[in-house]
Amino acid sequence: MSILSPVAWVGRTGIRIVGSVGQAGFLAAGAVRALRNVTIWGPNLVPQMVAVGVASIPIALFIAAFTGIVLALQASYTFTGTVPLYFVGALVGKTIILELGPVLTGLALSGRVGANIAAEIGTMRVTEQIDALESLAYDPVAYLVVPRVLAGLVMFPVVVVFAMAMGIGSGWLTSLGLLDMSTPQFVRGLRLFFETFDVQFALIKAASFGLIVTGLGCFYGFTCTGGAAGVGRSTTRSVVVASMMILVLDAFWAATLLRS
Amino acid sequence: MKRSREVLVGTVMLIGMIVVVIGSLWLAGSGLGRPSYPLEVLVADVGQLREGNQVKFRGVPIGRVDRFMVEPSGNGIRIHVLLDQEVPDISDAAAVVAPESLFGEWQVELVSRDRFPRFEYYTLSPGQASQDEPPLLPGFTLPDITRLTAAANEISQNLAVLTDRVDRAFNDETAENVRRAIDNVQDVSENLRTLVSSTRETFDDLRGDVSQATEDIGAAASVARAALERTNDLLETGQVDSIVTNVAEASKDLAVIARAVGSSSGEMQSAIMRMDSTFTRIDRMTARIESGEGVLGQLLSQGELLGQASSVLVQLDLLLADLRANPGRYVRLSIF
Repeated sequence: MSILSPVAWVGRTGIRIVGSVGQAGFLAAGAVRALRNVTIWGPNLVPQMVAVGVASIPIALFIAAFTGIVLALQASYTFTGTVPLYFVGALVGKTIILELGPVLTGLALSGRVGANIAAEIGTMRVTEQIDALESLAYDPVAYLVVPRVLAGLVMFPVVVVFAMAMGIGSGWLTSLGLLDMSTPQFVRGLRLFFETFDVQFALIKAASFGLIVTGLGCFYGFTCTGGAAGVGRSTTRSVVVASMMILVLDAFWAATLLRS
Repeated sequence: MKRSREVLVGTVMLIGMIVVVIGSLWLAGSGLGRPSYPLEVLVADVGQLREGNQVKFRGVPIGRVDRFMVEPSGNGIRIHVLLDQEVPDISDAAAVVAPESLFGEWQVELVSRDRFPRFEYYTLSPGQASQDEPPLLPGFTLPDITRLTAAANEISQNLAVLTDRVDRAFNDETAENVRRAIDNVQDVSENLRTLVSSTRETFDDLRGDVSQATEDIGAAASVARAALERTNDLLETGQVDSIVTNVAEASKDLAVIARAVGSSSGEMQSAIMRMDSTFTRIDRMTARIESGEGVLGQLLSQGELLGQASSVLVQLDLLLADLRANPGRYVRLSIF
């Protein structure tokens, strides 16, 4: 091991990152171009919307329900004594809508949807099914990438809406059942700091999360090499990077949209 | 199968959109189709009031703040509120913008001015309350908690400075001086009490004297009045002139007499002295005569002579008595 090995590692990593960015750019550009081929991606859109969105609603609702319960209990624990209890509603509503609804749903779907897409397309790549499509002059990007990304872009906000409603509802039920609060009290807190923009902010974040989760799944599936092991690596990378990117995007949107 | 998937996706998306729209409207406090009654409030500033905050009447939420509009003049803010019911009939109505609690919530409360008469409500010009616009109320915004905190901070700083000054000024020496001053004040008050007591006695006496003097003055005034009346009579009858003239002449005569008496008194004194010496000699002579010496003595010792001598002596006694009684008859005095 020479003294230049670390330097070589840095250079190798840099080249790989730049190469990956370039490949992602090419894939994104191809997906944009493939939007024209509606006849290719159109029939596949609804099944992907079901797979990405409708099928993800139960896990999103499950996560949101327990998040709402925990938020209500922790808020009441924190506010006991000094802050009026109706602030539980404000904290539950604001936190679910602005942060936990989109982010937790995005993280959950990055594991479920992103991993699914990366594994599916990666398997097609290593089994040369994508090459077969190309040999038939069938645009694989239009057939595989565009419907999934569009499904993620559209259905992630829908799933997040359901998650937000479930989170607030579970917080409300928890407040009624466990915190000796009344519905008017909870609703008063819920309305206290509510802004319509909060929902818009959440939907924008959810759409961006859907885009990044499905896009990264497609990318790591398309660039998958090395057989079954390679599919596993691509799937793992897809989930890890998508989760990281969700958090980065979360900060980005907060810094961009919430700084008045 | 394909159809059912489409229906499923469409249903989920529609439900999601409905949840978003209705949920947002509900959380924002929209009436969701219920009638609303607009009302406007003019205030100098809105403090921490935000869109969606409650409008209350006697503590009951009856509406929400809809939007804010800056007056074209820049002198105030027009708050547009939407009420769930018609504007309550309040005599001399006004609005108070105030914190609802200590946690940042503000509200607009519709009140009668009589409830808070000292608030400086926004003054509406006659044109501002036109009939075409929604009902317009003058408003007053209570100071924000931050302003109160700033004012309290300033007061506390001033108190700190004041306390520091008092601390510096009120040392042991000052305390001793204050103690002495208190003692002095006590002495002064005691003296004042004594003075007031004595003064009161003096005033009592003086009051008696004044009363007596008043009575005397009254009597004197009566006398003076009578004298003046008499004087007036005298003046009117012309007697005064003659009296004055007579008095002047009498005073002149008295002056002359005084001078004459003064000059004659010296001569009288010398004459009396001479008379004393004369009487002395006469006594001596009488003694010799009684002893029978000399002629007269023999006369006395002899009866006939004595008789004659006795008559002579009687005559002499008469003479002396006359001389004492009327010295001018025997002694001529000449002044000039």
